[in-house]
Amino acid sequence: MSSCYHCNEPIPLDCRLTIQVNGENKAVCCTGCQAVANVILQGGFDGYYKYRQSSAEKPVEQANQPDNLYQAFDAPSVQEEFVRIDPTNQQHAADISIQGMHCAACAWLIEKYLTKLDGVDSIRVNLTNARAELLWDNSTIPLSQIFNAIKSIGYLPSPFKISQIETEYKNISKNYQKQLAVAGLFTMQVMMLAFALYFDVIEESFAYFFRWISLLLSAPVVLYSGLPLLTSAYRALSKGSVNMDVPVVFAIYSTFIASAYATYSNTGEVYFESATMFVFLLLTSRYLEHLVKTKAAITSANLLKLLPIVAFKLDNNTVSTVHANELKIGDIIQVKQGEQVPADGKLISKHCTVEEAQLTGESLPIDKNQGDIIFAGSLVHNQIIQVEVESVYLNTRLAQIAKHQERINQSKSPLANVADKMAKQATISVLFLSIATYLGWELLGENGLWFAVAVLVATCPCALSLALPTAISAASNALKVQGVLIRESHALEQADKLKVIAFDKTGTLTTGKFSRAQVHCSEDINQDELLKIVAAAEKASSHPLATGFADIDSSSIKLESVETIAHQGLRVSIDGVEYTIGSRSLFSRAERLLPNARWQNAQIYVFRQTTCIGAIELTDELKSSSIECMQELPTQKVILSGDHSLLVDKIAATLGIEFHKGLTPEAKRQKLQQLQDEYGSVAMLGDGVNDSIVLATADISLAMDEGAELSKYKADVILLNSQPIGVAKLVKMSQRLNRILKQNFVWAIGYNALALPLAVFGILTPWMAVIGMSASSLIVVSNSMRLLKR
Amino acid sequence: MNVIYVLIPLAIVIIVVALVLFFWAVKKNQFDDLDRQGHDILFDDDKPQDK
Repeated sequence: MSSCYHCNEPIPLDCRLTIQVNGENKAVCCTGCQAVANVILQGGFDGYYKYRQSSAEKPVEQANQPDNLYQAFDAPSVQEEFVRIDPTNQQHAADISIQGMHCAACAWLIEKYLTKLDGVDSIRVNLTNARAELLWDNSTIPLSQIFNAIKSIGYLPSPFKISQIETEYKNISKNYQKQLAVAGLFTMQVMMLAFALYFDVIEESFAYFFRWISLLLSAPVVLYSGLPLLTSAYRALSKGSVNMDVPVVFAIYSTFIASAYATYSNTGEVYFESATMFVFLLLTSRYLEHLVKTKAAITSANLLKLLPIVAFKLDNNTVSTVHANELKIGDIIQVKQGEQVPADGKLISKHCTVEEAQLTGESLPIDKNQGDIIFAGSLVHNQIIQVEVESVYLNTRLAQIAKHQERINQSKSPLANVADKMAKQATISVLFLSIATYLGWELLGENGLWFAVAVLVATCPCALSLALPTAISAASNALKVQGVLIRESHALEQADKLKVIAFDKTGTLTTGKFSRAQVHCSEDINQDELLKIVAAAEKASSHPLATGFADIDSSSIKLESVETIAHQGLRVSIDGVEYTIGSRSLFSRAERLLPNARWQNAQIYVFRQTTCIGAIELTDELKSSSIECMQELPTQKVILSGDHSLLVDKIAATLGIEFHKGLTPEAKRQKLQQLQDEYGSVAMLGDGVNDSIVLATADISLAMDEGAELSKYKADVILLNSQPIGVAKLVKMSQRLNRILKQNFVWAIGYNALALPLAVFGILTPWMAVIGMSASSLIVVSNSMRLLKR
Repeated sequence: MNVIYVLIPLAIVIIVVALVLFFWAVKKNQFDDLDRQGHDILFDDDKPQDK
């Protein structure tokens, strides 16, 4: 099978679409890809295809999205929030986040394409953050046109406001960079001088000069670059506790002060290079750690926009898209399942389940009844609801909370917590040990200071503290290149201990694009009419099966009401007649009759009042990497599907794995818990809203990037290319990571254990301790970097 | 060997200049996106383009 020129996905059999590349016809898989590729090629940006390192994402089908999608962003009231206007020349500036960027070629393409537009003054794309900074002239080109231009080359822009925490992180990064540069450059100089001093390669008369120069050069390192260590130690001490930085600071400053005194009085020894090298190496590890933290913060900020900006307003049964800002009190809005509510308001629909995790941190869904207040930012679980707006945008509860505290998930992995605890106990014993060493040598009539410093340096858990962050950041970077985004690092640490991996079927193992295989209907309705009714009803649903009806024109049918029956289906009324459309479980309602035996395999049943008038069979295809994924995974595999049809059996047989079908979300969760009790650690791959509960229960949860926001919100890992093979990559990387971690820990702890007695008994002098420690840290870092290689 | 009294201070001056340049680069956000800049050379226009 050939693959699409633009997105590299296999081309469907009945597809005959092509594009012209340098006079040659190349096949593409869909009209979306064709449109995007044409825009790129006609703009003269064929360099993009030449140099890109990963294939493009399949663009969103144009037909599924309204044209005026970005119109709302032109309103000054909306822009007020994320646009900065230069008062002198009225130039507009905004930060936007861009979805779908994978490599340098994407960034180049966006920059080149946009700067060609009239009115765009400059755009700077940041690939690391998936963001761009845009400067434009609002009188020449409205923002919505710029957004449409980005969309036309296959990326999804959204406005974005950089949070306080991010700005703070960025400042810390910059400080680290400067401090590192100072430490690095000066340490090199000091070491050069120290080499001359140690090995007596210079005449005696220069030694005095060299010592003063060393003092001069190491002062900025210790006093400026050492600041983060000093403040962190001070913070711990002022709270009456100790952290790893306390002995470090003792070692650095006692070495520096004693050496400075020795220089001044021209007696004894100097160890400036030990102090500066120590600062440099520790700072390096702090910086690496900070980078990992920043990356995690940026990723989650990009994924979760605090408030949904677009609202769907309902006026006399027509839905219009407006900005949440333009809603007025008393307006009625419609919110689909899996979406966030854009404003606070009163529930008009009879009943619904929402999740208020963003507001309360409580992730269990809550039942709401007609008249209850629904808060903005709540996630709607199982229904399409209508809400009467009561307070808007910045007055909503969520915005109020957000104003007071911009918080961030700083979840620490269990391994890091254990490391922290151990380090704390070790720190206290090290401090005592060095005091004991000092006193011991003083009693023997020697200068005990250098022995005590050697103990402090030799026991510095520098390599130990580098072991985890470097390995994790190397592994998650390597995985990101392969299309696996780690959000919680515990997933990466523990994936090798998985016993069972559970898969959702639709949208996870299969493409989730349904086509109708067969339509059955009873005598009193014809097929077209049946399909039209179903299509009209499914338009209002975000259930994956709804995609099977997207091609049917149902404009002739007016829905009078739509109601979701939780996890079972939809109830609509058309011309006063009530239709129920949904899964087989609808039959369990007592008044329904069992269907004709030959309709057993259908996924969707249609009822008029209480009689079954039709059934529809849908099929979906396996994703290209599903089979390979099963072969590569060493663990038990099982399908947990909400689908009850024979499709599940067929797919499970093809893949050769166990399956459980016809599960409600709650049953999925129970099944998963059973698996956990029986086998141990269980991972879950899912994509839909109905998987969110089971994803929260699993030890490691993986969501598809194409999946519903709600499932991504919960997931520890996101598979960027939405291919299940990502889980195999994760497991493999986790095995490598744990092997490397073990080596790192054994080495670092072994080194400290070995160096300690040598330092106590004076065999190890401070400079040897520092060189030993640096070598040990370097070994750990380069060992971690091996993870970057495939 | 007395030349060392000139050379070492000279070396220090050069380092200070390098640091000033580096600080300037940090201030101008040159280190924000390290994933990308290495590839930019590939995209330089081979033929002059009219804008």
